[in-house]
Amino acid sequence: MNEQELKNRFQNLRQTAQASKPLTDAIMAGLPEASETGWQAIRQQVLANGYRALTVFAVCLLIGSLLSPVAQGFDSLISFDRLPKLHSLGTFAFHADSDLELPDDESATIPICEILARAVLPLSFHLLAGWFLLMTVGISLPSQVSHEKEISQ
Amino acid sequence: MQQAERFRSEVQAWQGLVYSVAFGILLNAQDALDITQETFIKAFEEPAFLDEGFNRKSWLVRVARNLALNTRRSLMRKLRSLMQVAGLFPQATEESVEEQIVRAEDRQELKAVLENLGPEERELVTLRYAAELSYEEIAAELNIKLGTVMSRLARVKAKIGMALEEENNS
Repeated sequence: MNEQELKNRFQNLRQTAQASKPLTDAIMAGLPEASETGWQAIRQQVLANGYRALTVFAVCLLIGSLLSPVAQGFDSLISFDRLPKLHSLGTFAFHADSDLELPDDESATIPICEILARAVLPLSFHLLAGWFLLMTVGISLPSQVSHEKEISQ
Repeated sequence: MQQAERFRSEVQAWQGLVYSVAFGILLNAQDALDITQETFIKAFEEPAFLDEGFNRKSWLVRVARNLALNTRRSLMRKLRSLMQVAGLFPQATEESVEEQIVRAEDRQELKAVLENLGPEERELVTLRYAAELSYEEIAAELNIKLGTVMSRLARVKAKIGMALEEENNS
């Protein structure tokens, strides 16, 4: 009897929802346009991700480019003449005419913060920019497809 | 155009099932409406949905249930419930769309019984009585043993019986 009552309550809900024209209209109004379904929707998603990734790429590139001259500026400020000059993209380039002196014991150690400031930091921003660009565009398609699959299971 | 008409007739055939499954799990009219809409968007995007041999009932129940469970877990929903309790978020009015869809009495009657159950028990009851799945289908859906389904349902029925008696006595 109690179970029957529960069944009836669910049945009432189901029947009234089934007969509801506002519900049908609301569902039909919420459907995407035919042109936006399937692969087109995925393509749009990939494009949107691509634009986002490009923006982040540009910002990272800008930060990296700003940091490179700052790091080069360290050279003149601290008259640090043992290390080779810093390339604008953060890589070291040895100059044939650089007059490298063999450091004595005390000055042989290169402070880690200087290495960071001069090379690793600017370079890492460039690498981060490239990684983000590749990852975002690269993973957007498979992730979208797997999400669809997950929902439909 | 013909496809749109076919899809509309399928919506009319299954919207009651999807709405009742979503409502049974979430006990909220607005959420049930959102889930119903979302489920049919997924159906619209599913290329095989209108195919002859496609098991629409099973597919719709699974998608609606998954979406409802995701909604139940979502932080936004918890936040909204919290804000409604605090009076910072407006409650649905009598004139809102979800009120036009299903009579308030139908929802309230069911809610009164189901809110005494835990989330997992509610899910079980919903699959059994809203989706009208067999014990075997429920076991497959929930990935549990048939015996577990039967024993859990027996416990839930006993609990509901007590709730209904209390409701009738008051």
